[in-house]
Amino acid sequence: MENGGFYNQHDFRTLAIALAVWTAQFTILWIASIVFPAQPLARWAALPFTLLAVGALAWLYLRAGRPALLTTPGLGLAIAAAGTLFNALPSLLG
Amino acid sequence: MSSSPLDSAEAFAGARRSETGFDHDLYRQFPTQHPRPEGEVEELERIWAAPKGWALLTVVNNNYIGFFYVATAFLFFLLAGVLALGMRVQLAAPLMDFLPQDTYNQFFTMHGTVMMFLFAVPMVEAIGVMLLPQMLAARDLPFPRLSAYAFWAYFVGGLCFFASIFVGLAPDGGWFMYPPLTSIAFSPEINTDFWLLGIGFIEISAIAGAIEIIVGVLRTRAPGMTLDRMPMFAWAMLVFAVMIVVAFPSVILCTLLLELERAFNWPFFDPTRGGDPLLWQHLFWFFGHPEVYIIFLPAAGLMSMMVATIAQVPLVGYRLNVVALVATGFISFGVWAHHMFATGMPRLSTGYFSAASMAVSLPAGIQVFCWIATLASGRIRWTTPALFVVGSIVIFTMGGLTGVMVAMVPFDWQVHDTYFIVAHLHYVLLGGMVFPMFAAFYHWIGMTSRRGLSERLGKWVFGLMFTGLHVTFLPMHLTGFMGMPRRVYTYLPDRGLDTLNLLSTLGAFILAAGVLVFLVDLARNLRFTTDDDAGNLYKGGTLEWLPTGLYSTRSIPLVKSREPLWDDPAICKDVEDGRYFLPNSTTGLRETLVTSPINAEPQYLQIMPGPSPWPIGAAVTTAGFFLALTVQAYAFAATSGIISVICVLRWMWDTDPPVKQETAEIGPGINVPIAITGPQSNGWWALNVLAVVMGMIALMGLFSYLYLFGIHPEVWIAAPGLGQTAGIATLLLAALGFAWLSRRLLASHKKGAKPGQLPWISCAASSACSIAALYWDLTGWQGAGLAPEATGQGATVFGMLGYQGLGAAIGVVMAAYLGYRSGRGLLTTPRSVTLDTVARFLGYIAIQGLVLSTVMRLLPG
Repeated sequence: MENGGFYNQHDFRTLAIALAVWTAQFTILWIASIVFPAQPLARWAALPFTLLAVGALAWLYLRAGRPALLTTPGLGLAIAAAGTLFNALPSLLG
Repeated sequence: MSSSPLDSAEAFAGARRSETGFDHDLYRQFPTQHPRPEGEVEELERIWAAPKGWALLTVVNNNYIGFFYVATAFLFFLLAGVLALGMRVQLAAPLMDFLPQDTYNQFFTMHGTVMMFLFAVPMVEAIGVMLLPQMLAARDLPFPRLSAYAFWAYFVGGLCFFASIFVGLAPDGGWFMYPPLTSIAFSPEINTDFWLLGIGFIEISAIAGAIEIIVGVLRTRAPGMTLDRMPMFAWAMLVFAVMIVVAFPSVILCTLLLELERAFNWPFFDPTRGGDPLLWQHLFWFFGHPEVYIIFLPAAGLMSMMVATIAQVPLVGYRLNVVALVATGFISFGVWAHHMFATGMPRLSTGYFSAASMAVSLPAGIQVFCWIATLASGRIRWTTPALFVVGSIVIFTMGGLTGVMVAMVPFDWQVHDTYFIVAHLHYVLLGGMVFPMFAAFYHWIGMTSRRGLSERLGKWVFGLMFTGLHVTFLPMHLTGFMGMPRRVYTYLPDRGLDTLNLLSTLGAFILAAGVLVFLVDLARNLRFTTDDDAGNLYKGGTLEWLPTGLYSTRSIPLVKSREPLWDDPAICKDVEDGRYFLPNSTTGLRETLVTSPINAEPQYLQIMPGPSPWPIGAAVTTAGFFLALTVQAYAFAATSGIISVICVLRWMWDTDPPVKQETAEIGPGINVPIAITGPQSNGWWALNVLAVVMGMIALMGLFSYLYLFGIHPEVWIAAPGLGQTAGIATLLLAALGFAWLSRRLLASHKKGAKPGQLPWISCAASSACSIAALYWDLTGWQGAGLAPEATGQGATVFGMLGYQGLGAAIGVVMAAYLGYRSGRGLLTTPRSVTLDTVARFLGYIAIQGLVLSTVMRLLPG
């Protein structure tokens, strides 16, 4: 039998929450960009929300016990972090 | 065989904790040692037997419905392929007159529409219906009649929709039907209505299938099949179904809005009256791009399972693959507007969508590398499925790379609406879905046919299709770069396009020749069976290769690893000898074991419905309703609609019978309840998924409302007074309270006591409050001077109130149905699945009304 008996061994919850953080940041940044088109406010709004998202991901990382990259929560957090930082690039580059 | 260490041993709170209180030590009894009594298998065969002759149309078993579904979806693939050949003949040389311009428009519209809506999504759903119960070792999916309804609705609706091309009434506005081209001013005929009503209806069928799959995957897995032991296809189908539930409401809403605009002149997309054509694009692509992943992910799940079998080693990076599937599901909802880069969106918005479009390639890449690593770590047997799998990886990677190219805004501007995009999307869809599907046909044919398909012919099929694909679509990258636009029925000579187009046409026929050889192979070797199949031709390790009949497996195994057949060679015999769970029918009825969603611990026994004519009756009349609306035969539409409702109610009448037996023994000393309500029941799960679907439609409606305000605030009028809004909110809160009260009233009675009429009367009161609130809301807006045909605000407000009215009307029917059942003494105490479902639905409608009403009245202020 595989390790772990008959209990689920993978932390899918952290994975889902991490990706939800990405979704929330993306949605907020996009809404800001269409509510304030061509205004500096849309670009500046990206900064606090990106910091907030990164902070949330860092908190999740600690809460999940600093998982290694090649685990379910580890890779989920890594993809969410990459996507979150990538989301912020357009506001930096203009 | 494989090991999976805990993600983070100390921190992961879910580890080693029973989900339901089930004692895991009971698993030690399996496989049991005592022989089973005689006659159990014969009884299972009798209970699960399929009807014969014409009565086979009433069958609901997944073996049959799945097979019908796959065959129908493949028929649509062939039909859409024939349309493609017609287009390629027209484009073989400049200024050809094989197809007139109007017919060509219908051909490309129908080709795209049929491939996306009638082939790709139904095909993966069909494969799911066919394979999932066996992969999970369930007796069937949890709502077999819903599967039957979904299939027949799709079959009848799809064929009627396709037939429109034979009378010159097929849609001709492109598969995405952009207004204003498809508005009444530029498309006054009913071609567009066929698309709007036909596709909207078929999407309802897809959602029904998705609800079935979500509940099936989460609730009917064999004991011990924890989430991290699920076959990759089950994971893929779970993500697929969740994506359908989130994405498809958007296309249902936009088709409804455009139909309302065309039928009643409500200006959702008319910029002269406060509408906006780009609203359509947002709504359509919020569905349309995730649709690509909706098609790709199940195929990726099949690929993950096939690479393991081909290499005869466990999938490398199972957990990474799962993460990739889930991540793709999330990120794919952030890419829809990359189809709109050329519409003049704010620059920053395009940047965000560009970033997300590139980010989505990360999880897709993870999957591809896992497949390559798996193949590299084993010894590949170059069978036909192996060829298709490897070919698929090559083709999909090529399509993915051009996808990253078009994710870059300046590049997209250059190639937008050219043949480069046609090449890109065909590489992605053929590599990501069609080739895996052919691989799956060869791989899993042993489950449903007395003999396998021919390896010799299969290699020809692969060779012709692989060659044909590249000869067809590789040159299109160049024709696109050279500026040849899509959806144009001809081109001028001497522009350097002649040879490339001729080559593409030749390639299309080579591809078609491959499909033709496949049909020959099918005709020669496919012999449908449910009990005498060819079996495990390629030595797979998952549960679908256990010996099965129409009742699925004789007993439901205890799952200890991801490839149980590789790890426990005796499992097939033990299962067949009835040494695991539920080796018989404990109630003499069709039944399946329901397990918990995470650890798959046994929870209860669900009684399953048998063959019934009502699902097919409901499907045919629902199709009749929509088609009659299309041709404006309103009396016929109303008749069909009423008959459809009666069929649905009659179908449900049998599904909640009072069962005297309270518990069932599913293994030595393991007793589980038979009928339950609340969060543990399948009905609760299905209703919640339905609520998500309805909620998404409402959410997208509110998005439309706020979006139009953002574009045209000058046409907005003030909402009615706050006092009225508070009154409406109070009525809806009362509706919510009555719904809750009905359950409390029923629960206050002891088991077996007569509940009286108060519980259903409370539901009826809830329904009446919702209707009253709706009436007040409508008249309030009318009194404020809002008219639906006047402005975008009027159209969206009345459109959403109409949607709320639909829900409230269904609530009235449900409350009346509950009253009738109560009058017949069929309301069981202290719990009733029917009352539970009706009360929860009414509660949801009240909450939806509260949100819609208050948001539209209070925002934007």
